[in-house]
Amino acid sequence: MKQWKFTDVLVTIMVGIVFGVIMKFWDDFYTFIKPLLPTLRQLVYGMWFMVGPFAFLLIRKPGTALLASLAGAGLSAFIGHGVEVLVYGFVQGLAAELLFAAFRYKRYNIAVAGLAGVMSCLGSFLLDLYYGYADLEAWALAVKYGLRVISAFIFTGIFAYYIIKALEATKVTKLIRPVSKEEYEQLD
Amino acid sequence: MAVSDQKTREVPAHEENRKSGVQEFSSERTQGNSHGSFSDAGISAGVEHLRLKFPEEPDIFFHHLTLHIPKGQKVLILGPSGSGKSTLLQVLSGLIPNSIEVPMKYSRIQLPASWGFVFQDPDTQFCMPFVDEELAFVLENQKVPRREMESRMREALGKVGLSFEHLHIPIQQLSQGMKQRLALASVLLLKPETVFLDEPSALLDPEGTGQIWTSIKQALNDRTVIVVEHKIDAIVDWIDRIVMLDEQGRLIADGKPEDVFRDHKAELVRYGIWYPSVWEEYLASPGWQAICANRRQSGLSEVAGGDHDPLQENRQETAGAHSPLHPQPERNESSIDAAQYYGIRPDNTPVVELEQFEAYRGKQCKLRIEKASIDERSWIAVTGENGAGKSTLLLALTQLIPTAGKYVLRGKAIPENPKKRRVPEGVSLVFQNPEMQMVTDSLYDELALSLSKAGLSHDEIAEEAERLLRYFRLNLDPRRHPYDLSLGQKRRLSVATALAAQASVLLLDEPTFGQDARNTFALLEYMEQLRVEGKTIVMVTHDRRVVDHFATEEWVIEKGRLKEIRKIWRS
Repeated sequence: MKQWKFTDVLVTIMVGIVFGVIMKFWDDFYTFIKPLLPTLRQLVYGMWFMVGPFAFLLIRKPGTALLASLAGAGLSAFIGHGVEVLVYGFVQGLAAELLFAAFRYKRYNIAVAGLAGVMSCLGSFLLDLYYGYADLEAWALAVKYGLRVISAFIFTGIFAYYIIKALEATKVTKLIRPVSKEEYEQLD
Repeated sequence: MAVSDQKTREVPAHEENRKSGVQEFSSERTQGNSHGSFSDAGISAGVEHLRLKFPEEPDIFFHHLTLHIPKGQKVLILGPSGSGKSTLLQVLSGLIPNSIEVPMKYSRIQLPASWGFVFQDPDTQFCMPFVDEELAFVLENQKVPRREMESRMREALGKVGLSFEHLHIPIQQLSQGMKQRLALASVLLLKPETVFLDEPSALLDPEGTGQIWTSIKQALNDRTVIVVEHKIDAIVDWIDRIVMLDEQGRLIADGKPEDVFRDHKAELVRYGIWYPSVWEEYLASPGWQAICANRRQSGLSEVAGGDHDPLQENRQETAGAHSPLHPQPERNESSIDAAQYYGIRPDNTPVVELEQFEAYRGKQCKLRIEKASIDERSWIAVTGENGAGKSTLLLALTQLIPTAGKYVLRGKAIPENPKKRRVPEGVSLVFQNPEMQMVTDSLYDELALSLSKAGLSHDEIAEEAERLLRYFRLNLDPRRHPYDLSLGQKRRLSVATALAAQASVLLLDEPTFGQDARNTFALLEYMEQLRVEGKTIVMVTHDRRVVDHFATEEWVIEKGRLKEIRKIWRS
């Protein structure tokens, strides 16, 4: 396990906060389109899953996904959405975290990031069931969450991945990712 | 390059008595480190056999550097840009690896028992918006009781020469120099034995630079101070020891200032250090003499009372050996032809004419110019205090802010209240922070974008982009990301993009700010070359010597008014 440095905490929380703000606006957007596209709007739901995987793709350290998701949810809760959002943030972040852990935190490609988003989506489904938002017939559930899964993959897999790729081109990411053993060996 | 074993080094005698107990480093440290720390009472900070590299970069820095800093010593670390000086400070303070992970190995290291760090950028060092909150943050962490805080804060501020009636003022309102002194004050509250200063005056104007160094000398007299700086006039008399590193961080000089200056003059020049006589030597150099000769040949002459450098005759023997620049830029032989070719101008219409010209920020008129004009091939230096309106002038000429009044560019009037304000053709602004202008992901694309806007065809773009890259010494991989360049390179790229846009009037906002001597002179000479080729230059600057030598005219802006136009070279 790589040890967390101060910069890791800072960058993770910052990512969480930025997404927290985005999620606030996204929430308004999501509400706004409800009368227009009550079901299809699931396709934009993926934004809420993006925090954790984004942070992990950026810093590549264990725990980032969960912490960023909590930070983002914390900000949303603070802005006024209440504790429920925190629970969602925790469960979704944890789901993504576990998925990354399953790959031993060594895979950073689109598929893994997308899968993490799908796991978060699963988490959100379970919470919806618990909170009573999933009180629909089986076929409706399949459509709603099917669309949400697709959205999750697009946002956390594709969008997050390509944004991080663009960041990598500016070389900003070099100093915040863990350093491999080979780098140290080159110093001998 | 040899490691400095044989050079004189102030190593205290009790280094020999270092205890044999080499302590095992705790296993939490980043993997791969050799273990060891020594606790030597007389040493404030030290490292032995240091090697370091940045992730995914091939170069290795420091090459087994060994350095010990005795307590109470004032050490200045000099070297070229990119030599790892700041990195060395971060290693000696423990920021690397405790806050940032960078692959590093050493055989022994000692960090100071207590330390503080002042960084370059006055705008990024504070975590609180108000002065008292910032200082309170430090005191809180030291568990100082609330009632004692204010007196401690005022004491620390007093030590750096700051005093305010009420401490609850926004840090934003302070000048850059004051901000740096505030940073120093908050460091002092830590009661550090050692203070690290990483180019504290790099982003300050001459006034701010004077302020911060006075504060530093005053407040840190009895502590160990480890400084990295480029502008060393103000501190050379206060420093006990100079350590000079080469491009790879190897130790090439270590000793008393006078000795290092005497024995390593060539490196000082090559590394672009602003040592005390650097301007005098430049003015005696062949590069400058050629510029003066060209100017006189093209019909310009210095206004009486403008600087005639009295050192010219006496400095011939040093002129050749110590030009503060690397060998002449490639276009040297053509500069004489260009001067003759462009020498006599067919007509004398000014490039820019301004009358009752006003510039607005929001609804407020921030700048008013009664009447002024700019001739072709002028080099206007715009000077004045902070906030006087210099940058506003540049923004107004580029039409990035609303203006009113007469503004005629090359005989065409710029409309006063257009539906959509456009940047006038042929005018290009180069910002102080080059990153602000970079909009693409590769060097080539930056230039290609401007070139395509200027209407060139695809092949012409490729050819011209390549020519510009070569001209500005940016012949790196054209796919390289603009952010992945050194400061000097970014600066040149921003000027290159301005030229790519086929600008004939170049507006520059403090282009030499924070640059080392070598890059500064190189840039100024490029500007002169462009001027000779027919461009007009308007440059905001704080540097008096740039104004007095390179500019042909000075516009002094005071409180939003053009106070004075001073001709320096007249045709």
